[in-house]
Amino acid sequence: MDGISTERALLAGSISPALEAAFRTVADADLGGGPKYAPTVMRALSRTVAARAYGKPMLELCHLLRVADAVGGRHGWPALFFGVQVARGPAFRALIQEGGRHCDAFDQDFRLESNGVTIAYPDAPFTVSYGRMGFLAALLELMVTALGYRAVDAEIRAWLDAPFEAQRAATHANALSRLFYDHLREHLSTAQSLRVFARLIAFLEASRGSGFGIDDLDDRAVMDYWYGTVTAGDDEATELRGFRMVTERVGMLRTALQAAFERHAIDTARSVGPDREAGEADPGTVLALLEVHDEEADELRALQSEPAAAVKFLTRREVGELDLIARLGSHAGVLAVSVLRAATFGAVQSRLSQALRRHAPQAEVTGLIDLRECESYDQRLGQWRGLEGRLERMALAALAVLVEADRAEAALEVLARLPAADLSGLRDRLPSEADGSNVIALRPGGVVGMVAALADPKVVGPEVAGLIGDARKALRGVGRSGFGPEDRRSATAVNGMAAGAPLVRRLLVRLQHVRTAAEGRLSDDTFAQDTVRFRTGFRALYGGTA
Amino acid sequence: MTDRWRDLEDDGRRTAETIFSALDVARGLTDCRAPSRPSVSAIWSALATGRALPGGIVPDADLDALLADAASVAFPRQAAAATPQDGIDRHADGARLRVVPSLGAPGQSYLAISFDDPTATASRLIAVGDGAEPLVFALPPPVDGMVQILVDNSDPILVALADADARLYLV
Amino acid sequence: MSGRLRVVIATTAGPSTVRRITAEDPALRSVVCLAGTATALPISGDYDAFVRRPTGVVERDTGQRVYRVDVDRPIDDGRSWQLGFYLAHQLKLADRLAEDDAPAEGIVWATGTVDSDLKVGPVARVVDKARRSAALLATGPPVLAVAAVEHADDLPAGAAPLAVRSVDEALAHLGLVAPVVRGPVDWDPVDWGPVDWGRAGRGGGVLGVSLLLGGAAIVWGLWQTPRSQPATEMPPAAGQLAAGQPAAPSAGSVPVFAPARVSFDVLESRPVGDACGPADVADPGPQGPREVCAVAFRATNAGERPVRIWLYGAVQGGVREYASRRRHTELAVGILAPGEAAEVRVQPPDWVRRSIDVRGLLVLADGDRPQVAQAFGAIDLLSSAEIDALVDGLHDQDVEVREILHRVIPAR
Repeated sequence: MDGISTERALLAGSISPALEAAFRTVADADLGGGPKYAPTVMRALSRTVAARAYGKPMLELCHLLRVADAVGGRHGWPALFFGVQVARGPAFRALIQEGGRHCDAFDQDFRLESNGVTIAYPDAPFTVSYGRMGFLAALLELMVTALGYRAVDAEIRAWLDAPFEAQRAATHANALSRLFYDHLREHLSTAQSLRVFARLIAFLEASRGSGFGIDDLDDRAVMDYWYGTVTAGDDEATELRGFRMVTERVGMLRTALQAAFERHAIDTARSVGPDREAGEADPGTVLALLEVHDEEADELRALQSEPAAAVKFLTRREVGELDLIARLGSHAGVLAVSVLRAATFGAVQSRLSQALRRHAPQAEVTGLIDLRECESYDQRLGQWRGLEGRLERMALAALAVLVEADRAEAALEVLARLPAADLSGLRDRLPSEADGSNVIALRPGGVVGMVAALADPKVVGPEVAGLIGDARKALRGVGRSGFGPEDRRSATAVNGMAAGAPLVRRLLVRLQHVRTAAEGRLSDDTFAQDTVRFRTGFRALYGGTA
Repeated sequence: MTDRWRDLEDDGRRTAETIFSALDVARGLTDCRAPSRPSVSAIWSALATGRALPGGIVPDADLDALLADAASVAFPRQAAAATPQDGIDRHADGARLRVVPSLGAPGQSYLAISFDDPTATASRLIAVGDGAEPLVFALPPPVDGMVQILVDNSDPILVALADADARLYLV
Repeated sequence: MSGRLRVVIATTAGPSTVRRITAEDPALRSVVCLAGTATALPISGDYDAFVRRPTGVVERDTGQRVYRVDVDRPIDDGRSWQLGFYLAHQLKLADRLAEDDAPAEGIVWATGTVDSDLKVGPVARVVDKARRSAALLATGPPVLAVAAVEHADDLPAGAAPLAVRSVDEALAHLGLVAPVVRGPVDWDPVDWGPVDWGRAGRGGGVLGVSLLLGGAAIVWGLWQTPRSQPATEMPPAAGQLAAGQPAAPSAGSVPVFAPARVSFDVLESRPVGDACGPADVADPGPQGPREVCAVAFRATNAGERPVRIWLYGAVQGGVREYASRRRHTELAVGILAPGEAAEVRVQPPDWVRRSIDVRGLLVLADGDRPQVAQAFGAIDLLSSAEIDALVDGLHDQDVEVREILHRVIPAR
C-alpha cells in the first residue's frame, strides 16, 4: 500500500525511528509458524501504547510473569514468553500445561482453569485468561525490544523475588509502567498529531464557523482542506498534503469528536495521574473510546490473523483496495467520494511521490501531474463492482465449506443473509435426546448431518436451499488456498472459513455501501471538475505549469 | 448531548484532541515500515530449538544478558588474550573450555569442553565479540561429560576464542 | 623381518591405510581423522573406547591414553578396524610403522575385532573387502592378510594369509612381542617362528622375555634380530653407536672395565634464531633454567679400555605419559672406545610452559649383559615409575648405573 508509506513519510517525526523499529520488530516476529503476534493484537497494542493505557495490562502481565517463571524451568520467565511460537491462547495453554508438569510445586500456587490460569496468592487469587496472553506477550516483547532486556528483566526479577502476594503486584506493575512511560516520553511525541488536529479544527472554524459539527466533516471538507492547503503554498502546513491522508485524518476527527461528544454528555472526562497535565483524558478512558470507535475497522486485520488467515480470502491487491474503507469503518459511507478520489487521484499522487523520490525522468513526472493515466471514477466503480463479485463468491464459497463440514456457523451465515429464513425444519434432524427444547443449538461443532440439511428444500425451503446451491457453485469456482478439496479437510481451514465468512460478508457490505453512496453523489461532470482541481493541486505541490 | 464544537468545553475539546492524537499515533505505529531487527523471541527461540540464529544481530549488553539466561554455561571475558598455539583455557561455573594443539597435525587444534556435571549437555557454542554478529558453532553430544571437536587453526571459532573480550556461551 | 610395515584396514569400500598414529594430550579423547584433515570420522567414539581404559586395550598395552590416527579413506562404522589399528599401535610402539609416505617393506592387511583378552573375532563381508583390495594386492610391497580363523578361506588371493585366534599370534608373525601387562611370561626366550612374507619369502624373528621386578611386571628385553643372523652378533666397531634406535645386544665382551673413567654430563641448548643452538655443559639439578630447546646427556670414556654403555635420555613425568615418546627420548647402545664420547639428545616438548624433568640414564658394563640389553630394548614402554624400579633392580644386581635428573623450562 504505497499510499500509506508515502503518507507516513510525510508525517514522520511523531514516533522516533527507534520506537518504530521496535514496534515493527515485534510485529514482524516470526518463529517459523507465521507472524508470532496477530495483526489484531498488534493493533490493540498500538492503541494501548498510543493511549498510554498500559497500567492495567502491566498488572496482568506481572501475574502472568509468575506463571511463566514457574513453568520456565531453568530459563525462567523468558521461556514461556519468548518460546511460544505463535502467541495465541491454545499455544500458551499447551506450554503452561507442559511446564507445569515439570514443576513440582506448580499445583501449590497455580490452578489451570478452562479459560486461564489462576495464581493462588494467599491474599487474593488472580486469573489470567489464555486469550489475553498473546497481547500481554506482545506488550512484554515490545518493552524488552524498546527498553532492553536488562532493564526489563531487572524489574521483573524484583517482582518475582518479592513475597508471593497479589497486593504487591501493583507496586511492580507501576515500576514497569514507569519504565515504559519514561521511554515513550522520549520516543513518542504527540506534538505533530496535535498540530494536525489544530489545523483541521482551525480550518473548520474558519470555513464552517465555530458551530461546526460532525456532519460538516464530509467529502467537501476533505476536498476543501486538501485543495486549500496545497494551493495556498503554506510551507508550514506540511503534515497533510496527501489526499488519502487528509481523508483518513478527517475520519479520525469524526471519531474523536464523536467520542468527545459522548464523553461530554456523560461528563466523565477527568484529570488523571500525578505526572500528567491537568485535564488530560484518563488513559483507560481513551483506550476504551479507541476500542469502541476503532475496533470495527479491524475486519481486514482479522482476516489476516488466525484463524481466518489459514484461508486466502483476499489477494494482496484486494487488501490494498479495501484498506481505506476498512480504516474509515463507519465513516466510509459519509466519505465515500473521498474514498473514490483517494483510490484514483490519490493513487496518482502516491506514484508521483515515488517518482520524485527516485528522481524519475521529468516526462514521467509531468505525465503524472497532468493526470494522463489517472483511472476514471467509472473505471474505479467498475473495479469495485468486480471486487464485490469476488467477495460475494468468497463468502458464499466459505458458506459451502461450512455446510460441507457440518459446522453450525453455516446456519448463522444463512440467517445473516436471509434473516427471515425459517430453519425450524433443522430441529427435526436433532437426535431425540438432544431435542429438549425448541432452541436450535447453533454453536460450532453442531450435530452431524444437521447442517447438511440446509441444502434440502424440503427441510429449509427453496430460498435457503437455493442459497446453499449458489454457495456450492461458488465453491467450485474458487481456487484460492484453503478452498481446495484437500485443504477443506483440515480443521484449520474450516476454522478459518468459520471466522472469515462473516468478515468477508461485512467487508462486502461496506464496499457496496461506499460504492452506492459515491454513485449517488457523483454528477456527470464531477470527474472533470475533480481532474482540474487535482491537476492544479499537484502542479502547486510538485511543480509544472498551471 | 450536543454535536457542535462550540458547545464542547475544554475537557471535551481536550478529549477530542487526545483521542485524535491517539488514533493518529496508533495508526502510525501499525503502519510504520521501519526495518525490523531480529526479535528477542526469534533469538531466544533459535537458542532454545537449535535453529540458526537470525541474521543481523548486533551484539550489546542486552544480548549478552539474554544469552547468559538462555545458556547453560556462560564464560566471562578472560584477563588476557591467548592463541590456540598457546593453548586456550577458559573456566566458568559448570564447564571448562580448552583449546589443545594437535600433536598429530600442527595446523589443527582440539576444542575440548568438559562439564562439571557429566549429565550436562550443550548443542552449541556461541562466541560474542564486539562489533560482529555472534558466531555459532554446533557441538556434538558430550561423551562422559566432555565435548571434543577438532578444527583447523584458521577456523573462525578459534579466532573468536582467542579474543580476550569474547563472551562464550554454551547453549 | 625387521623393517617398517604399513597397515591397511580392510573395508567394504576398499582398503584404508593408517597414515599416522600420534599420541595426544591425555586429557583429550582419541580420534580417527581423515588424511590429516580436521575431519573426525564417525568411528572416533568407538575408537576412543577401544583405546581408553577400562574398556580399551590400547592404553593398557601401550601405556598411552589418547591417540590420533589418520587414515587415508573413510571408515564409517563397525568394529572390524580394531585388529588393524591394534597391530598399527604395536608397530608404532616398536618404531616399525611406516607412516605417511615412508617406504614400507610390507603391508599388513587386517580386518577383525579385538576383545579385551585380545582375542580376534570374525567380521562381516570379508570376501567383499578382499575383492575391493585387488588393486592393493596387484602392486606394491608384499601383503600379509590377517583376520580371524573363521575367515581362513576368505582372505585375498595374492596375500600371505594369516588366520589367527588372538592378537598375540599376529604380533608374533610380525616379529613383535605380546604386551606385558597381561601377566608375567616365561623367562625362556620364545621363538615366535618365521614370518612368511609370501611372494617375497622374507623371514624374521623376535626374542622377547619379561620378568617380575620389584613386584611389577616389566618388560626386560625385547628386540628383534633377523632370523638369518646368528644369535650372538659381534660388537659393532668402536664409536659406531646406534643413536635414536635401539641396537641389538651383543655377545661381545670388553676386556677391561673401568667405569670410574667414564664421565656422565648433562648439556643444554638454547634457541639461536629459529634453530636450537649448540649444547653447553650444565650443572645438573632442579634449578629449572628457562628457554631450553634441547637437553643432551653425554658419556665420555676417559679410560684406556673400551666400555659397553647403554645411554638413555627421556622426558619424565606427565609429559612423558602423553607426549610421543619417540620424540622425547633417545637411546644409544654400544661400545665406547677410549677417548670417545656418546651422546643422546632430547627435545623437551615446546608446548609445555612449566618446568619438566629430563632423565639421563647411563649403564656401564664390562661385557655382555643380556638382561640389561633386554630391559633397554623396551625402555620406551616403561613409565617413569617403572624406570625407577628398573634402576633399583640394576643397582641390586650391582650393575653400574648412573642417573641425572635435570629440570628445565622448555623454550617456545
